[in-house]
Amino acid sequence: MADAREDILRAIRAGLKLARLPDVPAERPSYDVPRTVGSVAEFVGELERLSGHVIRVASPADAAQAVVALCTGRGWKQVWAWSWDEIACPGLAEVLNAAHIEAVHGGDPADLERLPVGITGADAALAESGTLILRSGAGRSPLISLLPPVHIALLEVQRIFPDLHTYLNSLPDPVAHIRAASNLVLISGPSRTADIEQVLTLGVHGPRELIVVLWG
Amino acid sequence: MSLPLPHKPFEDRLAEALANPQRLAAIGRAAMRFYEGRVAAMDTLPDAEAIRDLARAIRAHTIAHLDEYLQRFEANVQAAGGHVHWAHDAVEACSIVLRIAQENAVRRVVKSKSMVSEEISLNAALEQAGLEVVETDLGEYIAQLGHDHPSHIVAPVLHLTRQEVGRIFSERLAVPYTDEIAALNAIARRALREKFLKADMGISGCNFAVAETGTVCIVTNEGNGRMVTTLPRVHVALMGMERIVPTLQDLAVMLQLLPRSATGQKLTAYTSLLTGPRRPDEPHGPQETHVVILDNGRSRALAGDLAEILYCIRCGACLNVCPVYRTIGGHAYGSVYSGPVGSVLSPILGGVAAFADLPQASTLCGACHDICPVRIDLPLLLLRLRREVAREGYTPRWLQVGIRGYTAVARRAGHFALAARLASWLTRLMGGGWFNGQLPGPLGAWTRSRAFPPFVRRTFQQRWKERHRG
Repeated sequence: MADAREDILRAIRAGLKLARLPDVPAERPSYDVPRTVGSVAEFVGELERLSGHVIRVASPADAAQAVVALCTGRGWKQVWAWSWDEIACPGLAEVLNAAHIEAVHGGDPADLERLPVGITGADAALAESGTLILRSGAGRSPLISLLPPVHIALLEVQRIFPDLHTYLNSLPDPVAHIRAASNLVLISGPSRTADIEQVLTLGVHGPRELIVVLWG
Repeated sequence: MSLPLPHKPFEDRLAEALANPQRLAAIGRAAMRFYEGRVAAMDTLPDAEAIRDLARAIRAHTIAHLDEYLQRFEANVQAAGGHVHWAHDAVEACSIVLRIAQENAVRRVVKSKSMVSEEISLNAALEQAGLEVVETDLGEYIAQLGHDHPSHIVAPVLHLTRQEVGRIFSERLAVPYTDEIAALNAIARRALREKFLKADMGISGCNFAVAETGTVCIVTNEGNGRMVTTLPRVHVALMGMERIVPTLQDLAVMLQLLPRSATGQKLTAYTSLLTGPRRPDEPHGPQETHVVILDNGRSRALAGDLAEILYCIRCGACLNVCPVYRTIGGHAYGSVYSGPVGSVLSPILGGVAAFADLPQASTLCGACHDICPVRIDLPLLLLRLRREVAREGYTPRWLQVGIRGYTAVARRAGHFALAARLASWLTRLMGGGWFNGQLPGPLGAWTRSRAFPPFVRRTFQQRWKERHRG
C-alpha cells in the first residue's frame, strides 16, 4: 500500500496527542557521559578476558615478523587479507612474500572462506570493552574478519580510545564517517554462543580465534 | 494489529509448563545466571544510575518525536542508497518482504534473530510461497529444526537440554547422535555455513535505527548477524517503529546498557552498523538493502496510558528477574513476547481478549521496574492493563460476581464490620480443626500446599474502638 507511510505517520501524530509519556525532557537531551579512563593495559586485559590474544611489539617491522611467525608456525601457506595500504603496516607485504606466504585480497567468498586465516588492520580500538572497530571500504572486505577460523588484526597502539563516546568524539565528522561505509563493525573477542545449556563455545559462526598484533 | 495467538487457555499452558520440573529448573538457573551477569556488568559503568536516567530521557524524547525521527531515518537510509517500506500490520509486512524476494528472484533466505519476524510469523509466509527460510542464530536454528518456539528473548532454547538438542540434530540433520556441546556447535557451523554462502537474501532484525545516519544497528555474538547482512545480495532489516535513536551519541549510550542488561557483556562480540548497500568501491556486501518499518499496534499503544512500553529496548532483563517467569518459563505466556514486558506488549499487539490472563501473571513485586535499564514502570502498566481487562469484561465470571459481592459489603461500615466478625468466626472454626486448614470442594486447590490462615479473633475495627475508648 503506497499510503501506509502517510497512514502510520498520521496515526503516530494522533497517538502522540493522547500519549501518556512519562519523563519527556523539555529539550533534546544533551550530555557528557562519564568517561572511562582507558589504557593499553585495559584494552589488553579486556580482550584477553574475552578469549582474544594480544601480541605486543614495538614497531611495524616487528608486527610483520609476528604475523609471519604465526603463519609459518601453523603451516599457513595462503592468507586472506585487506589490501596492504589499508592494513597500513609497512613491510608486511615484503616479509610475507619472502616467507612464500601468498596473500589473497579478493574473490568469491565461497572460495575464500576455505582460507585458514584473515588478516586486517583496524580503524580503532576501545579499551573499556576490548573492542576493535573495522570499517568497510575499498580493499577492506568485512568478510575477512568473519569467515576464516582465525582473525589476525594489526593495530597501532595510538588507535586505542577509552570507549565508544571518546572514539566518536575524536572524529572530525562522525556522521559523515559512519555514512561513508556500508558496514562498520565493533568486534569484541571471537565469535561466541552459549545457546546450548549456557555453556560458552567459541567460533560457532565467525572466527574461533582472534589475535591482535599491537604495535607502537 | 496482530500477533500469533495462543492455542490453549492459560491454565493449560501453566499446567504443561509445571509438569516439566527439569525444564523449569534449567530456566530458573539460566535466568539467575543472566541476572548475576547483568549486575556485575552494570557495576563496571562509571555511573550506571546516571546513564540509565539519560537513556530513559533519550527514549522518552525519541518517542515524543517519533514521527520526525522516523522521517529523518527514512531520508538518510534513502540517501545512502537503501529502500524503506512501511507496514501497518503483520500481513502487510510479510507481503512486502515476499515482494522484495520475488523481485530479486530469491529462493533461499537466511535469517538472524528478529523478534519482529516472530511477531509477524514471517517464516510461515515465506515458506508458503515456496522459499527456503533458515534460522541461523544457533538457538533459533535448534528451535526451527525441532519445530519448537523460542522461550526467551535473548536465549531462545534455554529450556532444552544438550541431550534434546543432540536428538534434534541427529534426527533432522542425519548426523550421528552426540550430546557434546562443542560437537553440536561444530555441526551447526558446518550446516549453516553452507546456507550462508548459497543464500540470495538475508533477513535481520534491528536493535537500533540511527536517525541522523540512516544506520541499522544489530548486536550479536555468534557472527550470524554479520553473515546474514553481508553475504547474500539482498538484505532486509525488520524494525518495530519505536527502535529509533536520534544520534550516534545516543546510540553509544544505548550500547552501554543493552548488552550489559541482556547478557552481562560490555559489548556483544559483534555490533554492526549497517548503512545502505555496498558502495561501488567495496569488495563485498549486499547490493540491495531494505528496511521494513512496522507499526502492528504500536501507534495504538502510543495513544494512551500504556505508551511507556515503547521505551523498551528488548534486553530481556525483566524476564530474568521476574519470579513468575522464573517459575513458569517463557512458553506458558503463549506469546512471542514473554515475561513482564510480554505481559504488557502481548495484549497491546495481539488484543486484550487473547491475552487477558497475562497482566495477572505478575506478583507486582516491582523487580522488573528496578532492573529495567530505561526504568519502565512495568507494574504500573500491568495494573492499567488489569483495569482494561476488567473494563472490557474479560475478567472470569466468578471473580466478577465475587468482586461485586465484596463491593456491596465493603461500601457500608456496618456490613463490613459484621462480615469481618463473621469471617473471623468462620475461618477460626475451619482453621481450628474442623477442616484442619484445608478448604472444602474446589476451594481445596488453593490450600493443597498451604494451610488456610484463620482471621484473628478481634477485628481491627473492634480493637481500634477499644483503644480509643480507653
